[in-house]
Amino acid sequence: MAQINLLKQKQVSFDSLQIVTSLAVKFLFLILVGLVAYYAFLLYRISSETKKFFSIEQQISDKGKQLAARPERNELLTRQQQLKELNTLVGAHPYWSGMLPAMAKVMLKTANVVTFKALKDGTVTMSITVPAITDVEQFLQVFDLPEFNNNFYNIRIGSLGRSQSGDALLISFDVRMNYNPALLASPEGVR
Amino acid sequence: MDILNAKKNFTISSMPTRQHTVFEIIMLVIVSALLYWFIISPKQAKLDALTLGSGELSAEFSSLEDNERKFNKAVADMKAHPEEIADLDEALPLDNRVTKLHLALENLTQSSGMTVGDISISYKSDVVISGDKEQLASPFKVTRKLQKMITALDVTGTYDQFQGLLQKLEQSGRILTITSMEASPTADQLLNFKISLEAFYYE
Repeated sequence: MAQINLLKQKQVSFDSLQIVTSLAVKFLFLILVGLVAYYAFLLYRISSETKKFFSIEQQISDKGKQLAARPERNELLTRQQQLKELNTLVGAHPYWSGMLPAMAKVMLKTANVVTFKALKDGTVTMSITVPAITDVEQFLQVFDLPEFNNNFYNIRIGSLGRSQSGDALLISFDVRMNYNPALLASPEGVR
Repeated sequence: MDILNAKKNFTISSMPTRQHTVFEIIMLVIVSALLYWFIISPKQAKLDALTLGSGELSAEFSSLEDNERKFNKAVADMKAHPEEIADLDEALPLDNRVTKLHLALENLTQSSGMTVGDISISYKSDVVISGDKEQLASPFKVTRKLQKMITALDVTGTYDQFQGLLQKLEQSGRILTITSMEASPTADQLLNFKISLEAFYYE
C-alpha cells in the first residue's frame, strides 16, 4: 500500500501560494508604476492642452478685434439695417391706386360723390347726393349682392336728408363702409 | 507580559514572509486606489474639460473665420453695387433733410399735372440736419433708428391726374406710405385732394 506523505503535500501548496502572492505583488506594483506614468502623461497633456486653449482664445480675441476694427463694418451694418427695414416696409406697403377704380365699379351712375375719405384702418366715408330716395335704396341694394360686396361691405348711412343744388332738390347722405384690405395689396409687377 | 513584549517588537520585517506579502498586496491596492481616486481622476476630469473647451473654442474660431469670409463677401457685394446702394439711400435716407422730401413731393405732384396747394411736414425742429461735423467725418459710425416724417399733401386736379399721382407715389424711389386720402370738390370744377403720408429716414 502506497504511503501518502501529507507533510510534503502541505509544503508544495504553501510554496505555490507564496508564488501567487509574490506575482500579485509584482502585478500590483506594475499597476502602481503604470498609474504614476499615466499621471505624468496627464500632467503633460494638461499642460499642452492649456497652452492650446489659451492660444485659441487669444486667436479668437484677436480675430474679433480685427473684425470690429474693419472700416467697412459700420457701413455694412447700416446697409443691412436699411435693407431689413426696407423689406419690411415694402412688404406692408399699401397701394391706394386700386381703391378708386374699385369704388367706381360699385357706385350708381346717378350718385355724385361730394366728399370721399379713406383711411388705412379699413374704413371709407363719403358724402353722396342722388336725385331721389329710390336711388339711395338702389345704392344700398347693390352691396347686398355678392359680386359687389367683395371689396366694400358693412355699409352704414347717416345724415339722410334733402339738399338744394342749384335748381335741383337732391337727396344727400353720408356713408361709412369697410373696404377689403386686399384692395391695397401690391399690383402685379410693382416693386 | 510576553504579549506586550511581542507587540513592542512587531515590525513588518519581523512578520513572517507570507503575512508580509499579503500586507504588501493590501498596501499596493490601497495606494493604487487612492492614487487613482484622489490624484489621477481629478486630473483626468480637468483634461477632459480642457479638451472639450478647446474643441468648443476651435469651433468658435472656425465660425469666426466663416463669418470673416461672409463679411468680406458682403463688403465686396456692397462695393460692387453702388447704384443699388444709391437706391437704398433714396428709399430710406440716412439724413433727416426735410427739404429733400418737400422737393420730391413737389416734383411728383407737378409731373402728374396737379397743382400743389400745400405740403406740410412735421419733423423734430431741434435736431441738427446739416453741418454735423462728427457725422460728416464718419457717416456710418453713429447708431441710427428708423424715424417717420408725417406729411400732409394738399393738391388740386382732376380724378385722372390724382390716379396718376397715386401711382407715382407708390412707385417713387423714396418709400412713401399713404395713410389716408380725402377728396372734395372745388369751385372751378376740379377736385381737391388731401393725402396723409409717412416718409421714412434714419436718425
